[in-house]
Amino acid sequence: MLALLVSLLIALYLLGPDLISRWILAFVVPRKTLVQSRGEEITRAILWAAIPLAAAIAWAIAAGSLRHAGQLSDIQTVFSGLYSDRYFEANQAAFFVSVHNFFWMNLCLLWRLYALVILIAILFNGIIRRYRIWSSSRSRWVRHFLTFIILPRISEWHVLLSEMLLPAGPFVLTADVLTRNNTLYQGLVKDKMLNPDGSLHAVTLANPRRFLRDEFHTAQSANPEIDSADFWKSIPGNLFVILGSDIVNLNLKYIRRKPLSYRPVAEPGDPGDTEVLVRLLERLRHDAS
Amino acid sequence: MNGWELERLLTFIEENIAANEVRLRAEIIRFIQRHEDAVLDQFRAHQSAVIPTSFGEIVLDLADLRAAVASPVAA
Repeated sequence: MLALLVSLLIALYLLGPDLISRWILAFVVPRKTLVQSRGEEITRAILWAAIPLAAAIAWAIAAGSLRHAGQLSDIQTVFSGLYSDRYFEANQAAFFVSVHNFFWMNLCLLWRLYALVILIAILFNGIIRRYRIWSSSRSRWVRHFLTFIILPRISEWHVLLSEMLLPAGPFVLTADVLTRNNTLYQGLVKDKMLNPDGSLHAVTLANPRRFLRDEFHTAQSANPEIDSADFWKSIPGNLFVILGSDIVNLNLKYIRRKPLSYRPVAEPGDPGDTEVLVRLLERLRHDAS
Repeated sequence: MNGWELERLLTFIEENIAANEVRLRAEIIRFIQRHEDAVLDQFRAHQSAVIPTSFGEIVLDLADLRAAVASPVAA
């Protein structure tokens, strides 16, 4: 009976908060499945529950509800009664009073614990959703907190293929994808599908293009100066899905949505490159007039 | 991937973004220089032009051009 009660308390105080936090986090990001031993899993659950539990106990003590529900002696009576039949028979009336108090003490701790766990998990979700903004913080402590507390709980593929790592501002993520049959594709990363363990199942590209490698090599042998940019062929369609199992490597590029809005600092006396654009605009203006 | 590895990855991305932006802008300018008439034709026909770059096809519209010429030096 004692073992049953201890198992129930472990489930309620350790495993429950961990499960609930996983469930809430899964609304926002695909979590990675960690292959852990039972010991590691329990240690992680203890760490995840320790802070909210400490806060729940402090809250219940400060509110006075823990003292109102029962005393430390009630816990001792319940455990002693469950451990020893002789103690139970000698203190039956006190045991049942203590069981009643023990129940209310746990209830007053548990609802606070779960409320805090849910609140923290929702807070984590909010930080993850706005990770781009938070991570651009110049504060080293904020960045360290995000990197060490938030990111390791998320699938690496989600971190790499979502907007999480993009710098704050109008940036987009593009990718060159080399497949097993040596074909190079390029496009805007629109979506990804992950397996239940967090591994990559497929990546979806918008505006996909395929590199005409053979044609390029043929042309290059005739003219070594030839520009490879002319050997990309657009693939008709809206979204192009490449299975993760076909991918050999990915080259991810973070670029501005409006690349010309970035202007490198020109050296003194250097007119910069805007004269090309000015000339183009003047020719367009000339057409209009 | 643990926290340290992710921290290094973030730093690496940040260090490379500026270099990528310089390269992309240079590719766009170079393409316009080399194919000015073709780009002009695209602007005349569609009010926009598609510029092929090694980063993918970049669509420029007139507002982008005017903003690029008018805006002060960006960070």
